[in-house]
Amino acid sequence: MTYQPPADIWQVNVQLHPSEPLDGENDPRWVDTTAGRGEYNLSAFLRQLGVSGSSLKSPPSRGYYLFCGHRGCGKSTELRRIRNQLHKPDIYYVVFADVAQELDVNNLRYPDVLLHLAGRLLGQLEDDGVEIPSEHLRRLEDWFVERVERRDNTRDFALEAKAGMEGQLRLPLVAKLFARISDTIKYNSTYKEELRLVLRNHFSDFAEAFNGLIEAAEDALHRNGAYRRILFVVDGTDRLQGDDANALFLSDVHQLQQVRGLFVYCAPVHLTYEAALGQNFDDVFRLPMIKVANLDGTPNDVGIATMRKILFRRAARSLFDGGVADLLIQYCGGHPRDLLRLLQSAFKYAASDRFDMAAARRAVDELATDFLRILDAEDYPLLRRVDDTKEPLPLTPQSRALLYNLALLEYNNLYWRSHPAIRKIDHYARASADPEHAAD
Amino acid sequence: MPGPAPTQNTQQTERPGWPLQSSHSGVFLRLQKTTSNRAFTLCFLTYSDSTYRDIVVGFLCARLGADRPVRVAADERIGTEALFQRLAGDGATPAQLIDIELWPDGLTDLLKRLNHRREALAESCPRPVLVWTRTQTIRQVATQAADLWAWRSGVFDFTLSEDGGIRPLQHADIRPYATRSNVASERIAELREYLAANRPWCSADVNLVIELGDFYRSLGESTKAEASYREAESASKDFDDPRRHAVIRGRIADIFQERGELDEALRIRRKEQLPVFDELGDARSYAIAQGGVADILAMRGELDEALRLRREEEIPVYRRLGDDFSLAVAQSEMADILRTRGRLDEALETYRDSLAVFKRLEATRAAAIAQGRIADVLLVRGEWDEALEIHRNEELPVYERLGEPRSCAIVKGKIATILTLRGDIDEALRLRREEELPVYQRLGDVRSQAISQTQIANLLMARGEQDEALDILRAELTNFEQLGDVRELALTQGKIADILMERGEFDEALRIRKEEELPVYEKLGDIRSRANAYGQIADIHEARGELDKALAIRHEVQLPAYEELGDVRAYAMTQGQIADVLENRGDVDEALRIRREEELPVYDRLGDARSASVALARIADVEESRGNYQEALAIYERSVLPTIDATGSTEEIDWARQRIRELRNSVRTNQH
Repeated sequence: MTYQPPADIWQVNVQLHPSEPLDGENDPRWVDTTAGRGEYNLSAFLRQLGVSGSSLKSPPSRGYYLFCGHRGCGKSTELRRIRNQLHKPDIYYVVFADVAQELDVNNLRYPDVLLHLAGRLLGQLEDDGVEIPSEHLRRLEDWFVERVERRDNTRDFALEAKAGMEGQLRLPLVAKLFARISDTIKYNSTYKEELRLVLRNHFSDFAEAFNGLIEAAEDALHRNGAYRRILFVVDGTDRLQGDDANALFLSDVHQLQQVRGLFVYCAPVHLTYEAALGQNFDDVFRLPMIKVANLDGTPNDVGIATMRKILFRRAARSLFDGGVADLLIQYCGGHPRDLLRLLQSAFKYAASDRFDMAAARRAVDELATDFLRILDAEDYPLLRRVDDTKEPLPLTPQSRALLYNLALLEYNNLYWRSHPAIRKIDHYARASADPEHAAD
Repeated sequence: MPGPAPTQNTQQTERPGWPLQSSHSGVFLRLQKTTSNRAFTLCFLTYSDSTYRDIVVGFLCARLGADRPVRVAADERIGTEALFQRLAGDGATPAQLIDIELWPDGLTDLLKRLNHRREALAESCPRPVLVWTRTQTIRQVATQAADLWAWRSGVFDFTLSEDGGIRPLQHADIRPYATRSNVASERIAELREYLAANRPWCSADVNLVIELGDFYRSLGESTKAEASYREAESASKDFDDPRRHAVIRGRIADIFQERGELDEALRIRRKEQLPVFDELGDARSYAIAQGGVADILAMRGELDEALRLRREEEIPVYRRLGDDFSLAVAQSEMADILRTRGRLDEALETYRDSLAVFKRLEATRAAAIAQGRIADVLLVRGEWDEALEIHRNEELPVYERLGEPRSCAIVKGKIATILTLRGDIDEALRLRREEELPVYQRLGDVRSQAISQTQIANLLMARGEQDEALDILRAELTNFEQLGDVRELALTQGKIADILMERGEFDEALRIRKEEELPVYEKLGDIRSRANAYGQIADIHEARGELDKALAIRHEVQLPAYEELGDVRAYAMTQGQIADVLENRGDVDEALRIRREEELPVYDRLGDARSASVALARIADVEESRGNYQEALAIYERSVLPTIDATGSTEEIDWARQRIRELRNSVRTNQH
């Protein structure tokens, strides 16, 4: 039975979940946005990973990649799509982690991520019945015993974690220990800092043990005649704010890279303008907005069509009054999540069981009001300047902040535009692109 | 004279300053004999420590009349002809060739040249040629210059004996967790079983082979470790992994380095590791390899370059990576170089910085090692109490907890040394007997046992328990004989003679001095020990009333020897002993003159108040015997008692006070 979008406005609202990433092609609501994003093509990224078509040609021995884009632009969905596409025999054994769900993203450090990834790999191997000779797990277990169990401040945690596991085989044992560490880092404030401290203080030991596990797991998978390499795909790290993001991707990057393997981390778009990022990662892959307008402001038909598909997979076309869909698409700026948020707002303001124009306008106004709350007076001239001069801005803390909070949207070919909803704000209309007259 | 009068500090009669390690005395005698022919004679001299080697080189220059050594320099490219000319010199005394490992084109090249040109070498150098090589380089010499090797007249081993020192620090990624030997043995068995049952090995298994080698190394079994690394190297060829190959080559370089094959170790680090890590952008591994290069350079005495590498190439990387453990390890190693150069304050500060890091990281063993190094520096600076506190409360408990018996025994030996310096003989003795010696016995370490036993005997002698001390010393004679340590053997014989003399067994004491002890010092050319032994022979003559014989020895043997050595203190003490003899013979005026003009001024100049007070007491006694009670009393009250109050034991203080009371009575009686 083919998928039919809800034809009832109430069901639309119930099923909307703007923040929920889709499981790629497996989800009937998924839309291929490749063409709508302009020059964007996932195959370029896959080639970096040694993938051509449906086969793995020559994977790099190790690599650290960033998958960047605005929040809500579809990164998580694309990463799941990558997982689905690559997690196949003869290609990659993908270990996927959504740290936004699985860890505390409001307080995330590199120890949390790496301990969690070790736990995810161990757990997945166990679930898949992959047999790893216990000798290869000994070093990781030794690390736990020497560094966690023998330490006064974490001994109780270690004993609790091991309780009831006597006599277990080493893989399930170590998998559970590391899963327990992840849980503790997420929920337990007492041991969280202690475990982080242990990892920071004895990181080299851990990294070597983790490296041994990765290699042993790859050998075991290969022995079974499948999965040539392990690929870690880490979603949710784009949610990191300010200092946390800088710490993970800039100052602590050397720690991340002591674990030798293939890693794709999701990163916030503003970081892509940090010069050090390009030096620290093998490649920074940008997922651009869907182009609903061209550089000169004229409508981009391909982008608009893509957005229409997205919209009409969430709500039956018959629910929209004339012009409403176009209005929502125009004011979302090609940002998929904002499109869904506008739809949600429009439902809220709808006078009947249809998406009417007045509700759509109020939805746009509401989004504009959100920007009004977060933007400073001096932001508007800058946004005007971007729109009027069509020239790139110098990268300053201000422009980074505008990218981070979605006031500036990045499109393919690396040009920026203000979010269309902002253009409805009076301050924007009054602002001059000339900084000399900004205060007028 | 009632009670125990204070005695002079008899430093000269204790273990005298002898530049060679005692265990090398027999080697030196053999070398002396071998090179006595003054014709071309090829000798290989092996060493493990370049600082000690330089001491021996200087000693051989002085004792064998050897020329200043011909040093191979890394930055000077000369041919073999020029090298032979430098070795030829002018005379027939031995020539010494050092630093052959620094030959610009590598040791292999030099060995090949020497092998081919050996006839030219013999013809150019009609004198003994002493070639210094690292202890383990000798194997390379034997295999790569087989014909030259066949010409050798002997190999003379000046390797510093292993004191079973505390295992050094290692970077985290080459340090197995299981440091306890039983756990390591268990892991080795497990790994071997697994690896035997799972051939052919997969890529990950190669890591286990490396780990097996690491465990062997942790137990000191370097041959087995090398075999494992070689197996890993061979197996890794099936997998295209340049990084791992470089890592394995680094482990093999470690083994070469431990064996003293520095040339090859350096080549591996520079040519096979650094370029690979650089290419891979693996900054940490690159820094560790640079640290390895610095280690080798430090071992070769190239301290400036070693320091530069640590400061500029290694430490900044760890700092950038936030790898605090490796940073602190590298800084400790840098402090070792500073300590070698005598820059104690800087070394101490750096050790303390490293210690703070190890503590923060809860790296307890590393912290204990840093504490031990700090205490060693403090001991040299004379800060005994703090050094003792650290050994006892900071260092020792860690090794106890980690189950490292040898490390514990070494620390306890250090504690006993400090206690002895502080005069706490009983506790020092207990430590040596009950806590140090049993460990060496369990480990089967004969040399450490023998040294420990003689130290116990010293302490027993200090307590007056001569019988037991004598039994111990006699038992140890066999051990030193078996170890070929002729000098320690002679010193032990001397200690036996000391005890016999105190017991009044003069004949046997004299026989030992003359037949067992003196000939060894004479053969060794150990002027100080010979003079000391003669002094003790003079003591025996004096005790027997043969004053002329005693006086002759003091004048004709001791004084010239101490003058030659420039040892003003020993010279002054001998003058005091001459004054004693003169007093006994009734020549009181000359005795007084010697004490006042020859002896006292030296102690004053040296700031040796205690020896001065002993000499003054003797002067006061003479004044008393002449009826000059007031003058004798003044000396005791103004000079002797204040010094003894500050430095003496309770019994000595009581004795001085008693003497003052007696003299006051004499003064009063005389006045009446």
